[in-house]
Amino acid sequence: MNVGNAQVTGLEQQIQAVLVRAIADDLEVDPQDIDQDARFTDLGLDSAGLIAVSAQVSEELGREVGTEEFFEHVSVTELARHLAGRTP
Amino acid sequence: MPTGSPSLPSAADTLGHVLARHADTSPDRCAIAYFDTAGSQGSHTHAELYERAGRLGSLLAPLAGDRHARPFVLIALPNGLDYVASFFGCVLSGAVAVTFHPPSLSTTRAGRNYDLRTRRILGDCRPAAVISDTSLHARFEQLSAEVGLRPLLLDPRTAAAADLAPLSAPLARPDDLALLQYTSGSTSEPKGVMVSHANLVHNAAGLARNLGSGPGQTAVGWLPLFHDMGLIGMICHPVYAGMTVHMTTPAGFLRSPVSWLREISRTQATITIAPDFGYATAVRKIPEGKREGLDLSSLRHALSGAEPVRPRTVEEFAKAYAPYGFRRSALMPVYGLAEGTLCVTALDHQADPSFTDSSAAQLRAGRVCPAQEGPAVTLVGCGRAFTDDTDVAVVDPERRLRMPDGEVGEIWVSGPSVAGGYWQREQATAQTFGARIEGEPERSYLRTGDLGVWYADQLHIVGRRKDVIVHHGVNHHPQDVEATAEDAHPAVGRAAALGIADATDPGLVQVVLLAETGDYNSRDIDHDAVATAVRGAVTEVHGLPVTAVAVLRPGSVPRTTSGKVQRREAARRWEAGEFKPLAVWHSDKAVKGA
Repeated sequence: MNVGNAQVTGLEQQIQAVLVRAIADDLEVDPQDIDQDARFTDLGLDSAGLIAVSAQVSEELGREVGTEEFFEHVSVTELARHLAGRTP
Repeated sequence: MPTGSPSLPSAADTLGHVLARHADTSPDRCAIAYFDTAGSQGSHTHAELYERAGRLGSLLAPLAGDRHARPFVLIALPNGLDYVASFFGCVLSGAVAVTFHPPSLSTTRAGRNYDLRTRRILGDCRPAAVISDTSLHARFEQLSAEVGLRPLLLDPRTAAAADLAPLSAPLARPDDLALLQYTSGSTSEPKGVMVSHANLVHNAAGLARNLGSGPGQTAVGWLPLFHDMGLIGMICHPVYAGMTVHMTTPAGFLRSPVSWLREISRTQATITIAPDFGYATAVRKIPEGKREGLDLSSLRHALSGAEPVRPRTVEEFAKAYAPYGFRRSALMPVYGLAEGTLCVTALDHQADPSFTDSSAAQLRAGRVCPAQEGPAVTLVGCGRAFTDDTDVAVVDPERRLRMPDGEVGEIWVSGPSVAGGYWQREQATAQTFGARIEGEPERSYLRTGDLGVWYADQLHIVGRRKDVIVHHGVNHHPQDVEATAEDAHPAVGRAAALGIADATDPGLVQVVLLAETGDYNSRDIDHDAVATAVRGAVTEVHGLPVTAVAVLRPGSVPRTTSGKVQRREAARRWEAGEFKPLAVWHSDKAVKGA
């Protein structure tokens, strides 16, 4: 698994895990099969799927993660980095 | 004014007059409750809805029309109470509602696309006012300026606070234009369907009569209001009938599909409406553990429309929810289109969904014939004309003659629900709305562009005429080919069949099958085996040589908001190599067409 750089924090890893679990739940696949560097749309998530995933992620992280953030930060790795960076 | 049972509207009525009467006779009855996307819930009684709409109507009534006697008002609000109040504000004041929506995503690419479409629509209908959240006013001001317009920008929250007296009576008349519906047609050439007040009342009344809708009943749904099935099926029809409506949004449904069925249980709803996709989602995305406590026994009618009704979905939904009181006979396939206001045919309200297996070879040749041997295609009955004064004809469009029962033709519709045409598109209006059947000069027909067949006293939808794949002079309906592909392998979710004509030799047709995997599948699918199964089945069932099969991830195939395959766009992406298939099989040769 390539997470992009060595600067991955513990928080970032936790967020990655939440994202992967939510995506795997929606696609009904094994979390191990989620390529963290693949674009969300290439993983098979359509807009309906992203709404469901963003709802679960928002609930687990305790804050709103909008659907558009999945388009602006297009992979698990990128979105986790973005969300961790925003976190105090 | 009669009391007790709801009074039958007279010919002079508009939806506004009917709402005024409900506000008078049952002011405190809940008309509509909405869970909006922001998670807040609100509701209006009939009296509140009438008063709020009347205040907005006071603002809209003095506006001047541009190329029409009455002003057009673009409604670009999110789904919610404000949207409903704004729509009825137009209905009461005689302004023409142009039903639209705000941008769904704030990303740059999505925003560009939204602006492009909005600019085209603004330029086409030249609205006197735009109703949106205040946060979008600057954007609408800019987009309007780009097409030379300066519409009044309204936010219903601030407008409601204004100290305006509501209209004392509805101002619209039945023949007035009520609604301009821009269908899912192309962005470059938007076509606004002109729906009159009389159209709206006829369709709402016809639905109400078919479904036995009336006061004391509740409708539950989540369809978007810019879509005809949401606005007319879920709002106009229940309001007309004096029912109570409980709505949520499409996003609300997708976030928690079980919330739809919970709301039906909680309110003991009698009616719901969804496309096939909604029922399929309720089967796939609501695990058994979450179904506990559901009670769907109150549901008399679960309408399924706007996209092909799939036998598999009907069976799966009926089976999954029978333990929770759902009756199979409640599932009601309906057929309609925006050009017909909404509803055209509906299954009899007491009938079970009916399937007809026809020989695939016979259907290909243009007729329904029970499959004695060989592969079969399952057709879903969509019932009969939904009112006595609606005629639904299956016609040979070349000879303009009615086809006998059992033979496939284009579906033509005539009746009081047929809209007045496309706004300022005379040629397209004449082509689509002005068709005549040989020897029947007295009435004109709407050409739906859909292929259908009368069989066993029911209309069955066979496909879209313009998407027909012609091979060796024989017509193949893409929906049939798709159904075959979907059944070919358990890993296939939805499929799209494309007949791509060679740019330089239109007789040369490539048959391309795009097979999306289902979202329920596991990791160990042999994608090559899927492609093999799909092309084998399509060739076996339809006799059609397949040029290519691509196995794709779910959601890869472009579809309209109502779930119809956008075949032209899909073909373009295929030819541009824009799909990222899991597996591809290619025969390396095109097929000689007719």
